[in-house]
Amino acid sequence: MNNLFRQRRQKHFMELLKYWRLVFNDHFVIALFFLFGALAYGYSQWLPQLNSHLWWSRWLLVLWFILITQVGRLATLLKRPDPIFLLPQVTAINHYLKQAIIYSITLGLVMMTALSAIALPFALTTERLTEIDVVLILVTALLTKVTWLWTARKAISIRWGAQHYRTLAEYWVNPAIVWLVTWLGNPFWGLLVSLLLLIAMVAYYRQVAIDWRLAVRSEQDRMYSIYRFFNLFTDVPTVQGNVKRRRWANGVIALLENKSHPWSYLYVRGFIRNTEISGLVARLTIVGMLFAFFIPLDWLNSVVVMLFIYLVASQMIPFYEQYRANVFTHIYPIAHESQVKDFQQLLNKITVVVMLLIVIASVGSDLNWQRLVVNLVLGIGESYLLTKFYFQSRVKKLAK
Amino acid sequence: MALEVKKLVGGYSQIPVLKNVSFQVEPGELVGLIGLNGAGKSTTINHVIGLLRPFSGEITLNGVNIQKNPVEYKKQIAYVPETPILYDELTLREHIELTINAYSLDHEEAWKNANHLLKTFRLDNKLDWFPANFSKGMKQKVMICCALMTNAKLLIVDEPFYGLDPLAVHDLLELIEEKKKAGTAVLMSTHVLDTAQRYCDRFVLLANGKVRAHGTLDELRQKADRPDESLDDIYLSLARNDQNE
Repeated sequence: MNNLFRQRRQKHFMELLKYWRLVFNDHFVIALFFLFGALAYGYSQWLPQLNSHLWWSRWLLVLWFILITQVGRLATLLKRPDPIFLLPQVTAINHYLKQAIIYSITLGLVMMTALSAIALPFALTTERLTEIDVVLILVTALLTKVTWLWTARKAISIRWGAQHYRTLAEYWVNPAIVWLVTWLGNPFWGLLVSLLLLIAMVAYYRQVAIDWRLAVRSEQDRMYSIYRFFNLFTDVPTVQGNVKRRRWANGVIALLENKSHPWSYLYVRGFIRNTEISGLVARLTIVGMLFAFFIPLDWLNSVVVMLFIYLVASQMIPFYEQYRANVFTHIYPIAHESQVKDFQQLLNKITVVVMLLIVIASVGSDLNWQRLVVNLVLGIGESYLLTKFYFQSRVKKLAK
Repeated sequence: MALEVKKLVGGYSQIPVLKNVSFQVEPGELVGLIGLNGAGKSTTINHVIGLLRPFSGEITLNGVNIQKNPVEYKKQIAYVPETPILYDELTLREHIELTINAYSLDHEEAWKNANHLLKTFRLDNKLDWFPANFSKGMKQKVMICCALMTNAKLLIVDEPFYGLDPLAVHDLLELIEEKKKAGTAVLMSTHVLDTAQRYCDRFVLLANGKVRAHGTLDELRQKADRPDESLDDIYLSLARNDQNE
């Protein structure tokens, strides 16, 4: 029982490693690197344009630091059968959870430091900060994260677990107080407040005997969000997505559907109603439109537009396999070619619509029509290549 | 002759589960596929519906070979799986529509059949629900409706009775009876032996991937040398003999 957490952590690492290997095998990751490169480049171009003492810069810092405090959840690594199998181990489970919180704090601190570091160039440009201030801010960030994780720990206890809104408020209000004091007041007071808050939280929330139901559910949520990330790159069996009826989309279904083609019938409805795939396409499209709208550099804009069209199409393709596990798709008297054709048609339609949306957004706030036309021509060419050749080669690979 | 399985050797990986299985199902006949857990019932069914590829042997349906002409073969079969398998994203109405599309059925006539079936199983007021959220028994009824509404010449039913309420079991058996009268061949695997004894015309008894015995109840009685005994007893005695071997 003493080794249980260690074993779980090792297994967890192995699993993550397995998925990371797949992630770095995918060319999607090259696209992501490119995107991060573009972002970093844009950031470095943007900083010199700023004058010090902008009215909003401090508020932006407050917002950024509140948001990054939310990153990195409490990892208990509990599993669904645990409440049954570990029920008699009342004292051992406390030891287990102590190890879990130490593990979570370590991870949280690493992420917190990295994410704070991103904001520092900005802060150093707009604020007058001494070296001591920077150190104070980093320590404050770490203390705030520990407070946040203690909130997460008491949220899975019998005594406090039911007070859901209170926990939610503490997740956001505690960091908000700390960061408002830090950036609008000064870093020293921020540190003091964060220290007092941590002491107060730990002193007040002492009865933290585990609520199994909540603990298992929150761990499952956490794992699910990790799997969802990996699902961007590879097929994770546990990520299925929810289904929503979306009656309002019946018209869209009629537009996308190829009448009386069974595969088209299935794919179109699946695409519209499965929150996983439609959500992914919608998110990528919106982010792509924002990038296309705001990147002023013409060549970079075109590259990013093409990148996002590729991302949407390549993320759609695994949906081809969605119904493979359903016997009936093998039993229906339908030739295999019609599956390929019907999916290709849907992919084609979606890619073109997404392409048009992103290209239209690329006109930007300065109404650069020339850029729009260039992007349109590139986009049409790319969509054709993606749905015609890229899809075929991917399907051949999947069939193996 | 509707379904003919000839010297079938097959399984999931390299190791054969089925060793030389042969049997037939005639039109208008209900054949019960019977055996202990792991005897090879589901494997046989997976071969008959074309999910698995035989290592050797041949499966034909009204002269159409499953390997040589899969589309024509599959047009003639309908399947009710052991555990309900549904599309998460489709409503009940859309499952029916999809079935009509997939089998290229006449729209109006197929809906007439479907409505009759849905009414029998008291599902007619749930057409716009997602069956993925139904109870086990109701899901099973959806599977039955989708299979029985086709004009398939061979109906394959895998353990149909689990989770069904007694009324639904009765209705299902009656519907199968109707299908038989219309000339449909039915292959049904089951553990519910007293029901099988009453309704099946012939039996195929599987053990360790081989056909242990096949024929009508009387023929089985002769073979086991136990006249007057029920299918249950014959089955138990044959199964025990196998274990002792």
